[in-house]
Amino acid sequence: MRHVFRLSVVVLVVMTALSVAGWAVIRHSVDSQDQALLNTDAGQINLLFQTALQNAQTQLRSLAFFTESSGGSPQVFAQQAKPLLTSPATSVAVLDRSGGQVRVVEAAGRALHSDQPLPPPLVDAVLHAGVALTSGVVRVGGQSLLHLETVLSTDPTHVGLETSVVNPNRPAPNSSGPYSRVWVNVYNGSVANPAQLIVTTYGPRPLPRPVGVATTKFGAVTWLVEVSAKTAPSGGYAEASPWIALAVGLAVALALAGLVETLARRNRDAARLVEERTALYAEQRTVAETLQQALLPEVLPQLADAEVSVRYLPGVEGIHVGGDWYDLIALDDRHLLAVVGDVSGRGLRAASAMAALRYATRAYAVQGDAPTEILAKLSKTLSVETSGQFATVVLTLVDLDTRRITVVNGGHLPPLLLHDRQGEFIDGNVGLPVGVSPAASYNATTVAVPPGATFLAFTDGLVERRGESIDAGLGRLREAALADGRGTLDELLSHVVGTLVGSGSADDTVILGVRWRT
Amino acid sequence: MADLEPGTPLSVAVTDTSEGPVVAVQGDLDVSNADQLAAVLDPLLKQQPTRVVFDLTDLRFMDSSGIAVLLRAAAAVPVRVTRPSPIVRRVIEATGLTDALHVES
Repeated sequence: MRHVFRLSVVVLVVMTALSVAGWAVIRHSVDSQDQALLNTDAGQINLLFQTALQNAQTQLRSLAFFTESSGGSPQVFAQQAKPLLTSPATSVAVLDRSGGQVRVVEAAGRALHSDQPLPPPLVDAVLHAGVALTSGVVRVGGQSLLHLETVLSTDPTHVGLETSVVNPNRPAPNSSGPYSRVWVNVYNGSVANPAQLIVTTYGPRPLPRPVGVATTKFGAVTWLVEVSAKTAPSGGYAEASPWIALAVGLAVALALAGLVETLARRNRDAARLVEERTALYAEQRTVAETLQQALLPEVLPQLADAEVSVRYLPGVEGIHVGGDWYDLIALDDRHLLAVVGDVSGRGLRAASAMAALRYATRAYAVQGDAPTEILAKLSKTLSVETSGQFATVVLTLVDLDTRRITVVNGGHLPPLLLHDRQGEFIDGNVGLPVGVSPAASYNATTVAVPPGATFLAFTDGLVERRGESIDAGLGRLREAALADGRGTLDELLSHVVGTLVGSGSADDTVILGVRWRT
Repeated sequence: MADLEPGTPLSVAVTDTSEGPVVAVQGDLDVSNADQLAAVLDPLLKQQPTRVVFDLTDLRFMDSSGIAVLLRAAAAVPVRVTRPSPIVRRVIEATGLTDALHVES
């Protein structure tokens, strides 16, 4: 009797130990997988905020630049401020901080007014603003205001400021969309300080654990993104499974069978969740693409003596877009600067570098710099040594009075000039790409334009193919461009793109055309 | 700036010679694998060799991400590029980098 009793104790102890071990294994598996999923969500949301901050910086600098260079024109300010005033909670202003005093140059929105002094809590932020975007949360008139500010690198006395009313007591609903299954709190700074809460779908209190975290860093801004599941991310069965395993621990075999079953289910759940995540990544690509397209000009300048047209095709493979960009800047009625460039690498980093280069090019062009000077200055704004990125850029100044084009090339593929059934690549004076040397200097190639000629600048997505020299691609381009001689410029670009770029091309592609009407 | 069609796999081999390390890069170097080359180069460059030679005899394709890795190395130490195929040589030339990367003629 005594002997049997001892055996059952041993069996009980062994079975209990095995069951507890099984419980611990499953429990750990559930927890670590939940944590990984939440961190993925936080990382994705983090990227959305980085994109938003990048946009805010570009827009605020444009706002400050154009307002300052127009001598504080209310019309120019209103035009530049319009895209920023997306909700009644948002206000924007351009401020002059020369002499340590802050003066409102122009303002729009409910919180900022051009005929009133800046609310005192914001004065300090404006005085301390740098070229890198900064942010903070302050109390003004009983409201919490998130503020973002940046100065012009060319004129640090002028500051672009955006404020947005934050109301943590009224959580923003997120009942639909990819993040509807999670609570999200975003704080200004690197810690979860309720006074610095910027965005919340949960309210001004700590999120239920477990919490996924990610940190958004952009310029001098640091935001903390916290994410928590509304229900257990991997579902109720997974939560309960450790206890089921314990209860069924009457026999070791049964307990193990339960463990196997649970793990199998978890694998199925994991496969389903991976599918959902893949859909989210596809969405993320759209964000980067939206950013890139948002940065490309919407309306091309209209000129009396020349037709202009552009095609931009985003690459389709992978989750990251490339860094191709173009711009057409009407310097006056008779002068146009055509810009085509390509930043190495892909994704948000390439899109960010592209945004900075595009903005800088526009600013230098508007202030009257010659194309050779613009490229030399761009070379000082990007460094392959520190960022691992460089850019090829070709700038073409179109002078409709003298009928000449002046091409300045920083390592970019040569533009093509078509006239009289001939095509000629303008391939002289190729200088260093932007980002290789801050001391780079450039020489211009000036070409006379025959009547009715067509100028084409493009990126390598149009002509580059694996296993062949780019000369073969350039030859194909010339052939395709000459084959379609009678239609409009728009039709020519469609024909060239249709002939050279297969459907589902991996690389992004830009082609820009200018055609002289006479 | 890159063509993402599947290419030949990348392989990187480093040989130490009396004139410094020779880095032989084979296959297709593009945005999908440029980090692999960078991972080999980073510790190498930390040792501050007097020169790094890139042997590109068997490099079939190089995009801007690959060029960026070579440029970063060239910013850290003197480099020389030897025996590029005509296709790769033309890419470097079109990008205006024949001198900056000291491409052997």
